[in-house]
Amino acid sequence: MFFDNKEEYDTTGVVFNIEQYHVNDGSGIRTNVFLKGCNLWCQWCCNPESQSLQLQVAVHRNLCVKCGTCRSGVCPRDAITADDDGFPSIDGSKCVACGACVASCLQDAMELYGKTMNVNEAIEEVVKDAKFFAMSGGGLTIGGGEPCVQAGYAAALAKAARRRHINVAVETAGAVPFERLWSVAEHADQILFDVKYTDPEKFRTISDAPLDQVKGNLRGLASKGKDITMRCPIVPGLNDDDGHIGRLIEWARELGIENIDVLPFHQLGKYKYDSLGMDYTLSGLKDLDKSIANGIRDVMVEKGLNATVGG
Amino acid sequence: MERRMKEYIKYLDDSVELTPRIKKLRDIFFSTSPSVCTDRVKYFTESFRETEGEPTILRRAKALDNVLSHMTLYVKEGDLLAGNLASIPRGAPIFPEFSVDWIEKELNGDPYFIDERPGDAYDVTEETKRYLIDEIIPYWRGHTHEDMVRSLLPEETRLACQEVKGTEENWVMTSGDGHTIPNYIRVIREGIKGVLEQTQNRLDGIDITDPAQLEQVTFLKSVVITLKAVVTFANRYADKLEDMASAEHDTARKAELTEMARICRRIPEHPAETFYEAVQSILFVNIPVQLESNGHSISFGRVDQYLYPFFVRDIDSGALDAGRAFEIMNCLWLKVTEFSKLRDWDNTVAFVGNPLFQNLTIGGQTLNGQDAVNELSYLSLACTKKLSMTQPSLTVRWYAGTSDRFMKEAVKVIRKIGSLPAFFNDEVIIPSMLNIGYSYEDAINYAMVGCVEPAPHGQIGGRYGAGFPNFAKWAELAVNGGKDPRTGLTLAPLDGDITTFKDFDELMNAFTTQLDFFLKHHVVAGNVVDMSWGVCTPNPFLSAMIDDCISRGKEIKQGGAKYDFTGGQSVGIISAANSLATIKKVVFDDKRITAEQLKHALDTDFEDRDTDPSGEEIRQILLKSDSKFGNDNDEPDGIAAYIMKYLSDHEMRYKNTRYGKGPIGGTFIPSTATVASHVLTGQIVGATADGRKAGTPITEGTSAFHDTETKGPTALMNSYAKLPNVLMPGGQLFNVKIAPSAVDSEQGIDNWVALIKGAFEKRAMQLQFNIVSSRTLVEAKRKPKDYTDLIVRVAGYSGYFVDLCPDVQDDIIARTEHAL
Repeated sequence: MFFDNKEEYDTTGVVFNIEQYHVNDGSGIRTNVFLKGCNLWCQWCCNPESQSLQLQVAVHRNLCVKCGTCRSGVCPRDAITADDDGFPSIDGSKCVACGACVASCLQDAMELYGKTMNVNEAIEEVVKDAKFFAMSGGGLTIGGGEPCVQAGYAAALAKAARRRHINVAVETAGAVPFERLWSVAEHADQILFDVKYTDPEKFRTISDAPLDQVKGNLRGLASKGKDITMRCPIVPGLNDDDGHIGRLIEWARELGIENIDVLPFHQLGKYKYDSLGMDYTLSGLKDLDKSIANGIRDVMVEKGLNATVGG
Repeated sequence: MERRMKEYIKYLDDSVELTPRIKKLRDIFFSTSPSVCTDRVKYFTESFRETEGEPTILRRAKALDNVLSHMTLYVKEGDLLAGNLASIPRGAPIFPEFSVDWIEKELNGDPYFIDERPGDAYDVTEETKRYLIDEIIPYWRGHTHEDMVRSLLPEETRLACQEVKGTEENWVMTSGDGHTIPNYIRVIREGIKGVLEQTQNRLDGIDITDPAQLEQVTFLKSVVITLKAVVTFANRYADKLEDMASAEHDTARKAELTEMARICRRIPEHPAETFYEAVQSILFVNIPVQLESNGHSISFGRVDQYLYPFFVRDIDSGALDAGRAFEIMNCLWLKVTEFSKLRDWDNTVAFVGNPLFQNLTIGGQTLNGQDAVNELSYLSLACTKKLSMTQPSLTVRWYAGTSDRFMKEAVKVIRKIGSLPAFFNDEVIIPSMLNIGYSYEDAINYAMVGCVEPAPHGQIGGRYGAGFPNFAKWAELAVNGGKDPRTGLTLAPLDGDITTFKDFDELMNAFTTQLDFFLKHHVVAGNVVDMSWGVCTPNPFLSAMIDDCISRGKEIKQGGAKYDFTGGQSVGIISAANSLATIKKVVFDDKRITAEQLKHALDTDFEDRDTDPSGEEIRQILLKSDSKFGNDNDEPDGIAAYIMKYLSDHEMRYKNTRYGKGPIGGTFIPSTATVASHVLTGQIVGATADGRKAGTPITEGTSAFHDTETKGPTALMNSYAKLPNVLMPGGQLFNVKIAPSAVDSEQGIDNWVALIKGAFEKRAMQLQFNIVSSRTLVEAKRKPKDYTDLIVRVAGYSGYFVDLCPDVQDDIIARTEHAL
């Protein structure tokens, strides 16, 4: 059959979520495929399960009733013990994320983050909404994590979508060499380019890559004529200063990018840090006030940009 | 044309306000409570006392004549249209020939006094109470449709319907039929005069020596009486309007009244010549049909199509302008809202919100496949948007050629008022009609009747509203080996129950055994009701308004109509599918709990805390199990589709009482037009394996169960599109609740239209929406006085939220809200 393509079956990657009906991540109605693995370590990250490339088992303590089912011989590698509070504790060195404990939990308190899928399996999920993409000018959005961490997979997924006449958006932070970025982005119709910091010193706190590389990549994509939207998480106290906002506007104008989305910081991902046993340093921080976000947007609009809050 | 269209689209702008006249007329509705009116019962009974011994149909014709000749007439200040159903706005006529037992009980406070009901209360004066109890009820007691049904109903059917209640048939046992679109077009084009001429010719041509023809004489004579009665009715308005005009000092109003008098003198007797006359003509057909038949869902058909030639002619000649056309249409909308129907308490729960289901259809395609949307389609949207009333139920037909502009304006109406219009897909409905014998010409001209029932114009003799076959109940019975836990009765015994079934197939067989049994009795009950209607309450005037009755010389129930089907209103199909799919997954496939554990949990309504896992833990496992329709999951969706296909195959094999007597069809057809019966019918269903607690509402229409569709609206639509919708010619009902914040931008509107179009291109059949936040609803329940005009989609119809029963309110609040 026309769509049968060896590459689709041979290329596998780790996906942590596929969500239908996203309307703020590119044009129209979209299905988002979130790839695991990120090369940044932003402390405000609301999807901490996206950071590691490995499959992970999470324990949702709010649901766990400490019944002990998961510790009673369910785990083939004997990786689960009770912690001091009686909650299951998973020994990462033994766990192979087989999911046996997740299936055994009557409370749905355990969750497996990540699934290894070949491109065909993923695209089969995406095409389910093809009719709605067509009706709305939507399509597939490949996000992460950082899709360029699994660049080969992301590119194959984008190609598979295009083979089916599905519009492709890629959301990236762009902190990779241009060749690697382009290997994915060349198959994308829209680029959602995350700009976290515009100050090189600050940027160094979340990435090994120099900020110049990020800006260069943004320029590179712009010069290739890609349809780009700058996506700017705004975190109180970290990057909500006028200097940063001013530089975002400068960048956009300098590179001829018209669309810019202000993404206000929120605490919705907080519980996932607990579930994964990860440290979260911003738990005391308040959500970005809506009026502040609107104010930033208004400044951007004044400067001639097509700015939104939330995309 | 395009320039003119733009002029009409403007009426949808937020800047356009209703005229002061219309605002005043609208206020009457909100300042008037529904009440019981004795006009109809008085004149109807009076006539019946005088005609004892004559054939029933003739008696009914004479009784209708007496009602139309004597009932109180009123014309509201500023109104541009004449016609009333009762002596005051929102008055409900009484139809004693159908049933008086419940009226007597409720007048005595059992279960509630009519004016103290928790939902849909009606004012009733002491005088009215006494009059009904002393003079009316004794005359009719023992001689009603309900009495006849009781005497005809086989015992096993009675047990199935009234004890186990595996199918709920009561409402048609105490009410009339309705559910049709009378041939307004014919009266507009030919006048009553034309119909009368045809009837007279038929009478003149009858060979009375032929007994078959002799039989037709009584019917045709009855038709003549009712046709003349309707002309008399209109002339009484003309007289009244002339009097009002001569007493009127305001010259502008005087001129209006004079014009109205002129119109009522002319039509419906003569063909309409103007747009205004045509609109008035609709009412002089609709009102007598309602007064005669006691049915609801007397719908209006494709108003934007059949009024259009008159509209164009008047606009082109300058006799009419846009503003006047809009006002006249506003008056039609408001007139419909004045009508009211009193139902017994149980059926009030099923039909709560005082709906009359008077559907009015716009859009779709012309016979030649062109986009049928015209100026009147936009004006109709504007009427519903600006008036923000529940009636008429507005239907928008969509086909592959419907413009996005029209769809956008239509969804903006929903955004504004909360629930109307509903959308119907030509691309599925027309094939569904062709599949059961409709001609292409008649199918392509379909309009909605009642909630979601597709019908041709002036060609079908009603009977969409049969009973409510309760699929959730059957799933419960299948699990219990056929024994009803509530009554202890076993009507369709099974070899074993869930604890002995070896696999899912055995469970499914158990379910279809129950389906077969109750479907059979649904059909028997339906036919009994039809037989009784035919004997006790034949409708000569309605028959005259339905094609082929006159030429065939037959009343509808004798087989007079061109098309005739009986449509059951299947309720709880998705509850059944979810329950079966969940048992398959949790018990048979994943083996998370045993069948014994499940059965015990269901028997104890998940209340037993001493089991391991506990009842509530089992309930959570069942609730969270990924085995629910609405998530684009093939297993539950496939089971739902299987049930629907099975239903269609089996229901359509059954004949109705008109089979072989003339009409095309003559069979039963399935639908999921459940109205709000899912609350009433849920009361007798115990705990179900989808995690639902005993006695709580089951699913309505084909909609997903609340809070079980978790993957968003596109996945929901994908599930819906997988169902064999084309096999549901009686109509599908599919509710989606959307958060207001999701559609507060242009982008939100675009996505909404895309969602509807995408679903329709994938062969979904019908879609309707509620755009009210749960928070608003909770608030409205708490402070009803602040939310008197908050409209919600109850089921296939809309109602005022504050008028609904608390159970129904809670059910609507609970439906999953989708962020678009």
